[in-house]
Amino acid sequence: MQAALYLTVTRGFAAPEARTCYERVESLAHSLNRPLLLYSALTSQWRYSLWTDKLSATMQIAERVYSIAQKQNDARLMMGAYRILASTLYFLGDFEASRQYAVRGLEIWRSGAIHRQVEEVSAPAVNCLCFNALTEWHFGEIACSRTTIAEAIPVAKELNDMPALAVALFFAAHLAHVEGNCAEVERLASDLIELATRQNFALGYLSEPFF
Amino acid sequence: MPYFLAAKSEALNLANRTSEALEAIKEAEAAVERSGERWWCAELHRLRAVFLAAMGAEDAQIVASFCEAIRIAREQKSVSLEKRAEATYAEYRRQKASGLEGRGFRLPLW
Repeated sequence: MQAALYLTVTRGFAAPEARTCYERVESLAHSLNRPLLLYSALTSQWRYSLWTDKLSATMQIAERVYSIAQKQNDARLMMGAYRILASTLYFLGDFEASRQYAVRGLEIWRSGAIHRQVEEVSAPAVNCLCFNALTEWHFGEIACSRTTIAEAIPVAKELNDMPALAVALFFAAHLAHVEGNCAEVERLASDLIELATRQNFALGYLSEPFF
Repeated sequence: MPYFLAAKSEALNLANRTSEALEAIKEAEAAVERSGERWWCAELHRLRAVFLAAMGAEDAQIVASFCEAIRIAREQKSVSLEKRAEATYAEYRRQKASGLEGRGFRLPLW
């Protein structure tokens, strides 16, 4: 699982080597009866699928993750599952359902029920904040969207989660772009490229052409 | 991917390479078909209308693209994208009514 996570961060979300690792982890998790490991393997497969498959297939994996989280009745897993559902539904264009799941994820996080994170590429709380901000923008709640995305960056820093910080910077830049705020896009893009370079993130290669 | 292609199309249009901008939009729409990634679909249709107008295409084609952008934004309940599409469409009609089309429509990318 560790190998797969590092492969994902350094070679990109669509690295086929990582998928091989995740599939192996899934089969091991089944045979060893380790639901937490199964959750992590499926979450990683979901991420890979988001970049490579049709979203309908990605949604099926998201639903499997959600089902495992429900069975385990674990707040950390539920928050992760809500993050996964929020992002998949967002990209499908179902902004209303996306927001509902992002908000549910944030409710768990703000309740203080999570004392220790499950191993993830980036913190679900930051992703939930980002998708909440994105959907707020769609619903015309521009001031709320700015506040929410502004919260995501310090939360990622507080968690000392650099991939999550990259995600927050990326979506903050995206929101600045859709608002036509060129100076802000430039500032955030510069921060993101610097972070990606320093951390050797493949994310930098994704975002550079965009900015 | 569709979002990045939309951004590319805007850049091409700004560089006066509008036919290439339209190609980028077609590529984005093909990506939407392949992946089911529909979150930026309304914008793809709005941008297509903007580029078609800049190239002096048929009014019916332009109007159809604007209407599709508005329909998708409403279906997805995206107030922001609906406002953009409606405002751009209104600006298109204003310029058309003012007889500015001879000089080429200049509609907001946003």
